[in-house]
Amino acid sequence: MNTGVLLKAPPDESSAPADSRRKIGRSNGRVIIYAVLTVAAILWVLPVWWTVIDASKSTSDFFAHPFYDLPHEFNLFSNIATAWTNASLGSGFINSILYGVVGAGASVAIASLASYAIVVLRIRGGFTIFLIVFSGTVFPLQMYIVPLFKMYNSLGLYDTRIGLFLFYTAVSVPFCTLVLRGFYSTVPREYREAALVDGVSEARILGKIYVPLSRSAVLVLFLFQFTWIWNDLLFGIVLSASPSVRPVMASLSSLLGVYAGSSLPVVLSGALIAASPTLFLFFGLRRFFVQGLTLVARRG
Amino acid sequence: MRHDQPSQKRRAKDLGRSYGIVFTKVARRVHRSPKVMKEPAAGSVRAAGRSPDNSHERAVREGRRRRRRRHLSAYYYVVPAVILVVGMFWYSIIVTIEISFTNSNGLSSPHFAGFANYSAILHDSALSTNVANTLIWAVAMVLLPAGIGLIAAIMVHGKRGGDLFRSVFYVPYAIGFVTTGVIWSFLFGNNGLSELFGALGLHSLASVQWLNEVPLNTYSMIIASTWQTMGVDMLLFLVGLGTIDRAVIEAASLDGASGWRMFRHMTFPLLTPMTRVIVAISIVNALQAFNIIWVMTQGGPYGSSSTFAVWTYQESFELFKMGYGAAISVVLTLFVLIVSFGYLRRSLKEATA
Repeated sequence: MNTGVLLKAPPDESSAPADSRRKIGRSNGRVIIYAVLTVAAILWVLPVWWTVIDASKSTSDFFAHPFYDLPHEFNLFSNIATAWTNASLGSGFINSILYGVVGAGASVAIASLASYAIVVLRIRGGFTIFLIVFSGTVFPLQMYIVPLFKMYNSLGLYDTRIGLFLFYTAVSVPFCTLVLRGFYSTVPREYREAALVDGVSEARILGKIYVPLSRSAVLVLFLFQFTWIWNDLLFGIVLSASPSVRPVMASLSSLLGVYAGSSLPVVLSGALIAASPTLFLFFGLRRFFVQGLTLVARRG
Repeated sequence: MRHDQPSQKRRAKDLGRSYGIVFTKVARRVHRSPKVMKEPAAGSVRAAGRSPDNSHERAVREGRRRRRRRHLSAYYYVVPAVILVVGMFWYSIIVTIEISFTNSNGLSSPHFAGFANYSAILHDSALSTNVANTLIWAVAMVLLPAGIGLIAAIMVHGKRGGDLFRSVFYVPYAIGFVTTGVIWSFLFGNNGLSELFGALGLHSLASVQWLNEVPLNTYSMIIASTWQTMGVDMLLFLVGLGTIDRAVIEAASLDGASGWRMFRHMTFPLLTPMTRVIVAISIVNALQAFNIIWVMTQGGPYGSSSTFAVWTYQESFELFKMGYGAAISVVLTLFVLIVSFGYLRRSLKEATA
């Protein structure tokens, strides 16, 4: 109890001024740090601010005045309406919500089953199977575009929602398996033993014991995979062509191509639409995202 | 996990032997793998009441049969994952390598072309630009987002109001790559920052064509990318800082360490595991940089801002030289695998531990 007191240096006349000098130095440092952080924060916020105000301008207003001026009339909703309907961002938005929810959900479920078999049921060759599944995260995605394009064409999956849903599920499974495998191995085996004695089936044990106990990991994985799918551009443009199938980022990218010269405010309002779900998720569930980042970090 | 496999093999061998031996073996293994014990035990509970010797034998046999059945059905659990990954990704890898040795162009039927595509890459005038840009991206993504992220993490760590700054730096990450590309296309375009520089009297900056001048276009996109990813790197470093034992830092500060010395000799070395992860992720992502470039310049003008990922896409889907595009993606893959080798080996070691 007294060790803290014992370790402290005995009070000393000369230390007082030195101490206060250090304190002043430290508070100066603090002021500098806050100043630097504030400047950086302004630099980080300004692009968002400009996007919001310019997305609210009418096209003529945008071209008549500098971009950093406040809008003279509030046109945000009509810009959003234009981007949503005329530029088919709306269908992309709905498609991507669908791909994100179904793809992330399916991949978490599939990875959950695989992890359960590998670490809980301890199937023979389980580690090899894990390596096979995990290998899906190792190669750069560019390796997949040409064969998938050809395969999708020959199987009639090209430019279909099912095709994109299958791809997004497949691409999310390996990482989910890596994480859930880790989580399921920490669940005490006695829970399963007890449930088995009571005659509970394996599938119910997975659903009623393992998934609830790994709730935070499952939620984080869902959010991360949803975000990944939402932000995908490459496979959206490789595996689909029509607006009724294309995901949101492919629509946004073509919106930029079509409207950049004629009406930038429409493009910027489209950017706001495309960013809104992930912004909402990140700030609504920020705690989970920080947890998720530690999962990603642990991946290394 | 691994040490479990030989025991399962042994169990299979035991099947032919008399139950007595099996049972002692099983019993010996109980402390390691309680699952092995449980099934015969459960069987014998159910069989209680019958004549002792007979019921015991039957119980063991029944347990074995059930175990085998369960064992087989357990494989159904991994089927969807394996089919998806093997059917989509392994298949694609093999086909990509195969296509890279053909003159596939999406029109006529492809013929075997040997290493023609690979030697064509070496003689392609676009090679040097793509290599240079890809390397610039890799170096810049480590120095800028990760470097600034480290500084920001140390500044924000444990400060009052740190949460506010954290959120602000994090917003662009939530916005996503493509949207970031759209926003910065606007800012680097004619109606963007040049108006601001003109108003501020910086006329030399006002006339700059940020996305059309070489090599400025690559640097401009790196700025956009830094804006987007710095926040995540900062958060990862903050996670790393959170794991550092406070007592170690306090001890060092009692010994008179502070400021730069504290960082150089205490904080930074203690952050090494996290730094390694962030550097590896940054390089691997930078080597595959596609989204922001595709949105902002499509690799142009005249391929001047292209990288390997953009190059592959353009050869395959704009020029329909799929064989050539596949060969480029194989080369890119080799680079990525070399960079991520050490990192992967470590993560696999952790996964097996």
